Amino acid sequence: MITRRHFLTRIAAAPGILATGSLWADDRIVPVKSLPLHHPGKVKSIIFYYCKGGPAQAHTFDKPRSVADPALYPFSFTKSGQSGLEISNLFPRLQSVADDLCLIRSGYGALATHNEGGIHIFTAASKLGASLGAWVLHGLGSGNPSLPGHVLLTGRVLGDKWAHDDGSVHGGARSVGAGGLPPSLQAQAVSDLEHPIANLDSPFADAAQSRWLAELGALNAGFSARHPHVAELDSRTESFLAAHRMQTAAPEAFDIAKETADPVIRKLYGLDPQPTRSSGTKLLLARRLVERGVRFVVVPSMSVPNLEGGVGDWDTHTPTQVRGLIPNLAQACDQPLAGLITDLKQRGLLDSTLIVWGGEMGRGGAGHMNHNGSAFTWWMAGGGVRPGFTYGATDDQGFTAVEKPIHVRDLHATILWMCGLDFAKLKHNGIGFDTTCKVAKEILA
Amino acid sequence: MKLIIAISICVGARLALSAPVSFEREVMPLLEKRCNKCHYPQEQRGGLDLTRLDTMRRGGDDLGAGFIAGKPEESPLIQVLTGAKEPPMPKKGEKLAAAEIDLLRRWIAEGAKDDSTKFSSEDVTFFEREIRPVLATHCFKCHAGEEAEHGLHLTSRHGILAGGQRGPAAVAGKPEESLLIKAIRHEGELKMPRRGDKLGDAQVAAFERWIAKGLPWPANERVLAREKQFTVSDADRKHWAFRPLPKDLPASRSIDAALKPHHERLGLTPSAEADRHRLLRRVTFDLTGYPPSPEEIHAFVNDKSAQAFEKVVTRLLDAPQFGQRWGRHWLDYTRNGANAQSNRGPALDSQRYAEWVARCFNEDRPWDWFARVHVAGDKMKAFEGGDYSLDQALAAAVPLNGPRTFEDIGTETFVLMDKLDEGVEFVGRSLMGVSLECARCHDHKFDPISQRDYYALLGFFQSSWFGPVPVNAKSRAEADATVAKHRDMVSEQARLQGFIRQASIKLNVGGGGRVKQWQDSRIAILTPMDKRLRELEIAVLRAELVDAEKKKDKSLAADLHTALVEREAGLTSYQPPKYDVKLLGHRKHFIGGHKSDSGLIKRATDLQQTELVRELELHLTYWEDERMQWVERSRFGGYARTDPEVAELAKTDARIEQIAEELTVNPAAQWTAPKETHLYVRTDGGLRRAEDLKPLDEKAKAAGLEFNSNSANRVWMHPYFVGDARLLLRGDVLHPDKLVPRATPIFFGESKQELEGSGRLQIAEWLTANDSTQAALVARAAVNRAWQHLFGEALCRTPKELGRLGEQPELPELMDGLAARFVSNGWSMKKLIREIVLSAAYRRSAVAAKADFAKDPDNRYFARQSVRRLEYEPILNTVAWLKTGKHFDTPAQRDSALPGAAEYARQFDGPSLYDLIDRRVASISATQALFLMNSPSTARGLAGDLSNRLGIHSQAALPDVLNSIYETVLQRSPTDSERDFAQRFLERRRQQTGATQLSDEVREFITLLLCGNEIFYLE
Repeated sequence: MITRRHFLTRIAAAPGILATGSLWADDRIVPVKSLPLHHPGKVKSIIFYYCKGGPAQAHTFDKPRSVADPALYPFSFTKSGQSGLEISNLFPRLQSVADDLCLIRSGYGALATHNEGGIHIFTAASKLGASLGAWVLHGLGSGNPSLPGHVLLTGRVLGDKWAHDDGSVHGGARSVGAGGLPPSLQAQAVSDLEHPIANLDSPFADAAQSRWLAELGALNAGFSARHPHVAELDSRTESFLAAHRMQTAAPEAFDIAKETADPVIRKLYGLDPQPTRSSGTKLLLARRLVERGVRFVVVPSMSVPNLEGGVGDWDTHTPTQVRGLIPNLAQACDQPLAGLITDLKQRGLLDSTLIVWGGEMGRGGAGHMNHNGSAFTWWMAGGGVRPGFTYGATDDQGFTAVEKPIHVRDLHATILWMCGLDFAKLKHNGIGFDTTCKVAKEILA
Repeated sequence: MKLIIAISICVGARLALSAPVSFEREVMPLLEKRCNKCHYPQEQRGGLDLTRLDTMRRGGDDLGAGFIAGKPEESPLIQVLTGAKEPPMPKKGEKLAAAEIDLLRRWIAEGAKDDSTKFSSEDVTFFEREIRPVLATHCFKCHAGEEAEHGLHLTSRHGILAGGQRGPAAVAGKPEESLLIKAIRHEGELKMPRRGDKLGDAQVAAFERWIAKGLPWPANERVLAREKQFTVSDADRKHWAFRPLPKDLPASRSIDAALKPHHERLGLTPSAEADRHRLLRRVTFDLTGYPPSPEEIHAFVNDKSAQAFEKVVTRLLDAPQFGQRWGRHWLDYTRNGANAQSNRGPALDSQRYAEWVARCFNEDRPWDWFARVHVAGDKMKAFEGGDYSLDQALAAAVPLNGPRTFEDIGTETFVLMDKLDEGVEFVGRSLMGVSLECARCHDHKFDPISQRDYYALLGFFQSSWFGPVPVNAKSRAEADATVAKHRDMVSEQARLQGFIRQASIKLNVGGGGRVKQWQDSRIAILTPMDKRLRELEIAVLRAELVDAEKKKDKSLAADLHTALVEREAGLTSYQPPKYDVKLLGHRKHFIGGHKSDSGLIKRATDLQQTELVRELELHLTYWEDERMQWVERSRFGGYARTDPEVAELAKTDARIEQIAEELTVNPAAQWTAPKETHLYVRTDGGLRRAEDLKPLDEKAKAAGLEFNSNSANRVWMHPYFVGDARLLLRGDVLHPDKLVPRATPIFFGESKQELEGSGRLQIAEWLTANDSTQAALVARAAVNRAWQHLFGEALCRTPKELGRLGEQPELPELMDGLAARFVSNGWSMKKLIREIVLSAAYRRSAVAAKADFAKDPDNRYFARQSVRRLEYEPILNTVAWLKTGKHFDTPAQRDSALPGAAEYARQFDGPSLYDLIDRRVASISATQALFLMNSPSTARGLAGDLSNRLGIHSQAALPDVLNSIYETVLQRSPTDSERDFAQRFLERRRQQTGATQLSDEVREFITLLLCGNEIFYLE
């Protein structure tokens, strides 16, 4: 018979949501010891604002030097900040924080179809098909065992009459999945902002549940003793402990009432105007989550009204979509992202948080605004990245990354590097990353 | 002009100082790079061949000699490059750089000499005999064409000397310094050819001699190949999965006999046979997806005969749930037979398909037949007899149910390449276990499948499409006739629409804009009605304002007030609006509501304004009637349908409406489901490529047919396509190339069959032809997956990639033995499963000694069984069984007895509809735990249901009912220590809570078992 003590020591080992035995014993929330890093890294958490549909680099952060068809390029750019980063005038708020941004204009190697492209942009570097978020969580370990370490934030706030859907990631669960890594590393999807995590209300009093969990642990110990080599059995037992902790931690983490009462916060994240209401709320939530140790939060863009009728996302092929959708899509994220950067800075968290903005591909080619896997722009801000900096360039028309081209998998390797993780050393059962990954050291702070 | 002369004098002055231009090292590579994609011997665009000096001197069709030695500015070669003479060159791509043109100028100015190294005829013969064949069969697969690997062209002497990204491949006369030699000797990091296809020693020696001789090359053939040359290597032929199945297997090649030597070699002690309870649980779940009932447990445990287990297996293979369980495994390779994205594929009857699949498994229909049906079921005889089976025709349509199509049928590129690609992918991945679809854009990098092979296969799929067939169709003639009639009607409809449109334009214009005149005449009539409608809106707003004030909703009242002021001002300065059909349509929404907007009627109804409601309803009818009139007038050139002037048009219009009613599928909404009386199934005759349409359009127009060329209907106007597919450059629909005759991949040998119709029946028969390599793949794929479903891991752990990209299995001979017996047993899935399940390997316990675990941690040699989490379906079955005590015959019956089944699919990794799934995920998450612990309908609800079902009365104590609980929940008896645990559970509970309610204790204990690990795992 396995003793209770034996059981406690056995559960201490696993990554992800899983915690230490002592936590379970006395139920106090204590910070978890981080896993050893490969080299000093600044980034502890990442917020990924994912632009669904693939934003056109030439409309946003990569001004084309030569335009053949002006109808497809109606937006002007301004050199912004001390650094003079050229940013589309669709993003006046982000222009004001230009000196915190690092524009990466030479992304390539994306897949130019949405579903496959979505999976690829999040998992391209991994031989296990694991998403970037899963790897970050795997490498850094949980920053808070009472909360999921990897979260996909979707949904709309009450009273949002503007956005037309909750936001989602192309490729679905696989884009934020664990692939061949332990399943506990997959993103926890939040789709209802009122009830972010289902089944949090326990029918028992806390003490009664703790007692029940102790009995469950003891029961499972018998089965685990038959199969000591099956590690996932322990993971499963621990998932109940994590669930128990989540019952109290999650409502607190997701309760933004106090903050939203503050007019400064409301303004900063744009919680009142319709176009920024939901995205602002989700980015505020994202900040609360990373503050509490969540490692990777994906906030996907939502479908918005087209100024010329209809709705749509960043998949803007036609002049109508370009003129009608892009201003609204930009507006939905401009204030909230600028606010997030400002807020993190004020809280001293910008150094340890990385913000990433980008979609699953770029767009544009001779005479059209169709999908383009050979050039796309992402920007990053925060810990680890060189601020007020532009990396790489596309050709004159912005169709192909020509200067310092950086592959999707290189972007992953570089982000991991900022976290203090070396892709070449990150392995699970001996399998890890595509060996052709390169770290773009130039963009590191 | 002066300037040009001045420049050329300068250049000339500098020229004299530098070394002469080399034809071999400088001119030839430049011509190859920029000109000779068109001007080479086989193509000779414009009659010009720029690969040799003599043909250059001869020149092309129009401009005479290509150059005049010593006179660059008079040489056509230079003139077309500078723009001095038409046509400007190169036709495609950017102009040559000034320095490049300059090089050619200098070469001509210096007398246009060929300085190429001359080789003796013996040396050239040596090259032809020893080197060329090796280059062609081993190197041109990658190092040729526009996108040669690592920029290295091994197709020309200068290409080899110039080398690729790693530098020159050879140094003339110095084999030891040549990278090529190092690579083919496999000395360093670079080993060529790749993937185990090493050259023989004699061949390597020949290359050494060749380089020592200075790389002799034929003077009249500078470039041996201009595109990659697909070749099959020995390594391909030797790959374990690409070999034919062994014949005459010794009897000793049973599963256990095949495993034994490996266990002995590795010093593995096989685990003992599992105890009877656990064995029965395992085999019952594996074969039916349900746990065994207590009666079944007792029967097996008490059966002392030697055939006890065999009897169980026979019973399970005959159970109706067997087909559901194993059919489900197959459905994973068909995206559930459903179409997950309603705008991206045919609306198939996936439930009917799933039932048919289960039936096939239950009746043990041969697997080779089953595979063929998925390619050409509509063209095969019905299994049950008769010449046609609707189920089989449906199965043949299933491969094209993927979500990847993003092309639109109405656009110019409507070949719907991605949909057809799914057909090839399915034959490859789901049936053969290889990645044929990788060859869409280029020759397969790892397997012996060329891009040409891919398009040769694609033609079979492009030649067929979907058609609506009546659900009671009995014969192929009937099915074909209904599809043909449907297609005729669609075509007629498109034609008639075109006729009406043309005639209407004539009438309208002939009458001096009759439509506009009529519309203008309506304004005076509509104005009073429109004004009244505005008054009505104001009345509704007033009522709402009163109501808001009554309810003290200040902000709403303020909004209403603003609106009211604005509307009243609008009425004072009233101007009639610009009416059109769209605006009239909006009236309907405004009054009657639309989607989330509630209309005036709803708003008035909410405030009990009965008078207003009555009048608004009249308005609703009025405006809708008006809109219909506007539509009618513009359709009939300004006339009403009943006017005698348009009698003929009205008749045509009636026919169109009649067709619309008779059609079972709306052709403009390709992917919607047909009427209930019909099913979408596979049928011969596919879509035409865009470039084929234009001539057909012209032909149709010449024959007096009218149709709207922008409409998707146009696609259906023309005869259906049966023929060969076009190769697409880089797989891109926008870059069609040559036609590729329909054929099977050359690796598998030529197929000599005469094609009939689309040829799918022939390719289906080819797929499972006796003793063929492709049939061996189909068999291996099937046995590999059966093994996976019975051991948790397949023999080759990449079950949809048995090719060279996949994992090498440790036990290929075991797989071959199983596959060979599978085929010789008539492709019987039940016999295969029986063989595996009855082996000692299957019956072993999952418990292993530590030492054995260390020797084979991943259980690649199957000395023990595996511990694996149940998939979503058995989990749901278990819940249904605990709740009701029933083993349901079909999933539909189960789900109707179990509300909330969909939530289980979300929580426990139900199958995706988007992919071909070769492995189910078994995720572990805190949300699963929350779902089980806290949702009232899961563990707690189920514990209550179960204790009621087991008849546990409220005064029963846990120790007395423990046996019954364990037997039902875990299908075994509790051990002594588990009895002990239950006892101590009671003690602790009483001590800590002070509560002693017996039924609560029992239920709480059951919740522990229901949430615990054992119930979710097979061991």
